[in-house]
Amino acid sequence: MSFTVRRVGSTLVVDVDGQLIVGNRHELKEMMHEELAGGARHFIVDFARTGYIDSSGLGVLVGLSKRVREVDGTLQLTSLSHDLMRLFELTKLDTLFTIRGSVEEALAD
Amino acid sequence: MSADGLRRTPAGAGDLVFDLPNRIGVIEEAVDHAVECCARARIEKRRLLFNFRVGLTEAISNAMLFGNEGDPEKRVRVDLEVEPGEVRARIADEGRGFDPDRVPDPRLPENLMRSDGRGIFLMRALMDDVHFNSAGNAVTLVLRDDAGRAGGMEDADPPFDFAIPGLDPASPAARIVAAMVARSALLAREAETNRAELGAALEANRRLREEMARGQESREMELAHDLQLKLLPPIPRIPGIEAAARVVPTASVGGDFYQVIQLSRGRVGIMIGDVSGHGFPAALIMALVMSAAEIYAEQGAAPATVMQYLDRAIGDELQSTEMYLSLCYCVLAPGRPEIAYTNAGHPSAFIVGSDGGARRLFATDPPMGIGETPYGESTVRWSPGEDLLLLFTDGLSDRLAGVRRSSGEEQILRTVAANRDRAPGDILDLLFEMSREAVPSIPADDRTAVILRTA
Repeated sequence: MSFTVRRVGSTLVVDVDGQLIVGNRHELKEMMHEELAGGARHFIVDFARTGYIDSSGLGVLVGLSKRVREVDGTLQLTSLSHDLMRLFELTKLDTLFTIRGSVEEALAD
Repeated sequence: MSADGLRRTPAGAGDLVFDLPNRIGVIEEAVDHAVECCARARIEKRRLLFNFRVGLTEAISNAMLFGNEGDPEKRVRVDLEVEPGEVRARIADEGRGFDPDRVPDPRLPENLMRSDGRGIFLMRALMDDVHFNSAGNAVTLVLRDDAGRAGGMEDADPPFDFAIPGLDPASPAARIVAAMVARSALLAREAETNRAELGAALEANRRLREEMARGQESREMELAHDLQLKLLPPIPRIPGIEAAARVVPTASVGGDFYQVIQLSRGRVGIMIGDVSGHGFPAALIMALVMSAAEIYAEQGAAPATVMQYLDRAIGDELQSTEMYLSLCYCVLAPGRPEIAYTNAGHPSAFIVGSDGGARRLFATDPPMGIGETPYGESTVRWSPGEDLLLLFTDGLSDRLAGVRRSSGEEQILRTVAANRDRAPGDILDLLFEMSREAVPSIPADDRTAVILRTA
């Protein structure tokens, strides 16, 4: 997995390329924590190029959503495939996250 | 499925064992490799790429982080069984196990904000079947093709997919892969054409040896190791037969193999062998013996005759490579009170009785490649439903030699006898657990064993 980070206005857009799983979840977490420490508050994590996420990956997203909430920030997830969406539905995490169809849609919010 | 509910899996085409170091960084690659090996299962690709990958990732990471408690000295073993319409993966760790039913439901509101605790839930949600062993340190995941399409697979043979990731098509390893494909073609043809195919495989071996002489050994050892695991066939499900087999190859490939062959009239043939050489040449001899043995055995021949044919087919090859092999072949059937066998220089096989006593199936001949034909054959008494047939290679007994100051053979027999009422696979688990813990007194060799019981 790798990710690219770009800034659109005050929002940080993270494009995840590859799987978000147990072996690499810390990379995403650490990067986001650094950005939070640096003052970033609004995040979009885009999964257009992600095949699958495991429970550790979901766990990292849950942890990040808590941190973001604590500082009154926002975290939106975008471009989930049908299967990824089902993962969030199965675990009821769709109720915890703001999920949007695309980065553009999320930015328009 | 066919009428009798059985489907022979083409030997060597599917099953795979991964023995993983306890490092989460290896999971993604192992999972991807496993998925590649499932191509012939004909399960909807999307479900393989998503459900299976997530389920397997969960199971392996659980095994590493919770089962093995992150201990870098421990390992995780993944056994993959691929059949048309079904993929099974067994993931075992070396931990003390846990109770999967005591994991809280991650969907409950009070658990929703937790960052852990979703792994087992996801496995269960995404796989068609998930079951843990009683100790709680191994889990089996099953993914099936949708029932609607399962019937449609009857017509076509599953494609053979022998691709090894990262393998240069011009390399010796690729040539072996080609020989393996020839092997599967071999099985499909009439007996008369078999010799020509064998000839082609032998020719591949000759070319291979020339290339081997030019070097590049270590990479090839690694690939030969892969190859050995790919060659070992799954145990076919045969009515009235309960069998299990295991191989733990060394890095250098000692040339151990086994084969359980379904024969006509409900009979079954069990073969175990050990090629004297190492690396690719040993692996190719192994492939040749296995393919030829299957053909001859299925023609219904008696053990001594099968050995005779085999000797004729590969004898020259053995002589020119100065290799030899020990080979034990037994034929038995559910309900039949005897076993016929030929043992060419292999360590004694044993029948372990219901009283725990063991009877020895002595060698009837010297190893193939050393002795002369014809081969002898013996028949021994067998109590269906009670006796266990036990075959192993010297890699296993040598490894156990000196444990509790007894010979390796005594160790094996004691363990099997003490656990004779258990399932063959469980007995093998115990044996291999012991052998892994034993401190080797001589250089490591492949360790292999087969245990079987009939109704």
